Amino acid sequence: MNFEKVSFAFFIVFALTLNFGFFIGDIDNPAHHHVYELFAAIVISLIATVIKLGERSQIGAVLLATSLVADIHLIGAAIIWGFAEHVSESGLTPDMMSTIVSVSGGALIANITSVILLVVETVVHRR
Amino acid sequence: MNSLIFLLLKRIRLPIILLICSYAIVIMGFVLIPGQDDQGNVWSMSFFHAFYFVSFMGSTIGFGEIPYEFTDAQRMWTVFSIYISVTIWLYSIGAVLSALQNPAFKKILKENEFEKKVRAIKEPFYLICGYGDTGKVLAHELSQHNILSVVIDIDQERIDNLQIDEPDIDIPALAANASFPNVLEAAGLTHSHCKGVIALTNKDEINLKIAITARLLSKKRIIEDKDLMIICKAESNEAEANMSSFGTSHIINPFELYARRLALSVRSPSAYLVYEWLTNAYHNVRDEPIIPPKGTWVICGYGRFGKAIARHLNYVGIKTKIIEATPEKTSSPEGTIKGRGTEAITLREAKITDAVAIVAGTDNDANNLSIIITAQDEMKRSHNTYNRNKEYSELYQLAHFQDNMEKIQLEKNKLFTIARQNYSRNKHVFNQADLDFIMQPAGIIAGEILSIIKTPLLKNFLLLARRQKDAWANLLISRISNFIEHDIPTTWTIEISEKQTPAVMPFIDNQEVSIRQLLVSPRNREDQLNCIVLLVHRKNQRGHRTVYNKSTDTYIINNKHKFREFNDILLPENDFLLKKDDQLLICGDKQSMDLMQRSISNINVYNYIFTGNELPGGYFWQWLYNRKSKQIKI
Repeated sequence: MNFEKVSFAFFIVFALTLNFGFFIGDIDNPAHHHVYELFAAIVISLIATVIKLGERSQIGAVLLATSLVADIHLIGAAIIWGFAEHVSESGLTPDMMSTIVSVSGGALIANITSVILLVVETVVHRR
Repeated sequence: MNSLIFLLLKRIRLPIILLICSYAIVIMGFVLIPGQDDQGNVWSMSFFHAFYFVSFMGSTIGFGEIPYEFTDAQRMWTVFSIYISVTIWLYSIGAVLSALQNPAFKKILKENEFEKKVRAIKEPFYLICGYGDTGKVLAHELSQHNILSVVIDIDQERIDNLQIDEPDIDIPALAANASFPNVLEAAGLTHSHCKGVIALTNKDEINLKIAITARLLSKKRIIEDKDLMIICKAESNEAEANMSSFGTSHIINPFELYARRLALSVRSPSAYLVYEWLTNAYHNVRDEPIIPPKGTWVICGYGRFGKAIARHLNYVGIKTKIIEATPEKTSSPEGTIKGRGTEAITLREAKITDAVAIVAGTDNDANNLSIIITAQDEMKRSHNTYNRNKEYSELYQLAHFQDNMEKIQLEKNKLFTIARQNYSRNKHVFNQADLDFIMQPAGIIAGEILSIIKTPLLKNFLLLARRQKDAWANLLISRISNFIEHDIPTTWTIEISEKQTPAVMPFIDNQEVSIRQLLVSPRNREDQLNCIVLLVHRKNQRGHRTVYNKSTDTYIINNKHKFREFNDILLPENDFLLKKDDQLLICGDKQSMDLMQRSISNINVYNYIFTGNELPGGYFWQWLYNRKSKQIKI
């Protein structure tokens, strides 16, 4: 048990859970998807990415890649949201909402992969 | 390169996390704190506006309070955020800069640059390990001859000096331990253009390691075409024997080399002069041979140098007297005088006044100079004493005194002096000391290596020349000095082959070409070039150097029969007939070298030399010429 390992796993799992929390609910209903949750998911996902920087192992490289994918998805979702709310004429329509949620669904898959890899690594290095 | 990025990323992990966290907190704060719009309604910022505001606030650009004027609560939060974000930004930038300045990071950066440079080399080069006095001279001389070198030295300071010493050309250099195989590999040991490895470090042990590494890492190349030359400096006989046991191409022991030359100069001063002319790396050479006196020599310092000198001098029949500070440690011979030689009393004990020469061969330059000066003073003092005694004896008519002393003293009031100069930085002092010979290891090794690289045949020639009589050397000197004025002769090698002498080849195939026809001046057919052929190196038809054994996939080298594969013909006559693949060692002035280069590579020039006719150039003239000659035949 060491602090580095705990924080490592903590952020990876936390990124997944927040992402899932945002994703769950009716796809086009804005009431089911809160903007704070998306914000938290982005922040935690970014931190998880940075924590994985500099890992030289094979699994570390794959973890970093999945994290980067999740970041791109989530930031993409945030940009769409900002565009819908402030730039487009029609505002946050159910159409827009479903786009945002489905993009964040992509991030969810990436985060799930991350966690699976984490579990695999833990099982392989039983110590 | 990869490890570089990882190293950098690892070091900036914490600053980035801090940045993300601070941004998250600050943005969150702006979203949560309620504000007012221009109508006074409660309005709270969206994430988009908060991110926009924080982006320009954090980087201290500051566009103002956007989109509506802030409430006091928002301003309070802004003050807090500014201090937080600016501090963290400063810390992050500092961390990145310090990561870039980190010695480990810089080292990796330098190594990468070096490796890239070496990999990009597209011409033959030599790998020099050790940039001390010798390495310095060698790298300089190689660059003067347009030969590229790559330098490794363990000392960063010396590598830095290299850039100052050789500002004109870019010599790839790295401060690293040359005894590590991966360093040698990075420096291009396995590079296809690497022509040789030269180990010149101070320690025999490391030189040995380099030789072994070179031998093992490029095994196939060495056996197949003898492409990779391994040249090692060795200061002890054990290391020398060890190196030669696994096929090091050239082992240079500066002390042995010098002692052998000294013995040569005692035995045959003219032969020594030839030697000096042909191998000198520095361009200052005497014209007249120096004749070392025969008699008792005093040698100060019985280390590796003193031992070699004593052995070789004894070999040519010269008596030696040894002065050594620690006779027990150095296993000095009987009759050794204990002392450093810098004190007059020790020299007097060694009967310096009876000796003809003194060799100062300790490893301390100041001591060596002191020995020489003390010895010279001692000679002067005894001379003065003699003169005074003579006056007295004349005054009081002591006839018998004169008979004893005069014979010995008259002829020798000057000692023959040889000093060992360990460091090239002491050059000026040694030049001022009025010495007959200066033994300078760096110059000797560099000169030897240069001649191996530039004219490999020179070694064969000198080996044969050493066995000749003094009269032979005198003849050679007179022949060379016929055409050498003010300058030392240059030596170069040519091979009769398609590559080097394309113009000569058609004539070799059809008719007989003699040496005289090679030395004709391209300017005027009646004149000869200012050069002579020292040696012809001819491959024997029977010889097989390497035999490939298919069943075991190995190469067998017939070392035993090596002497039969090549014939070396010393100073061939002018009507000596040349054959294909002969290698010629030629000595002459620089101009002749250039002229010969022109004649042997240009068919038109050489045709003129050989036949006296100018060949028509260009297709039209050739066609006309051929037609004409056909008509004549008809």
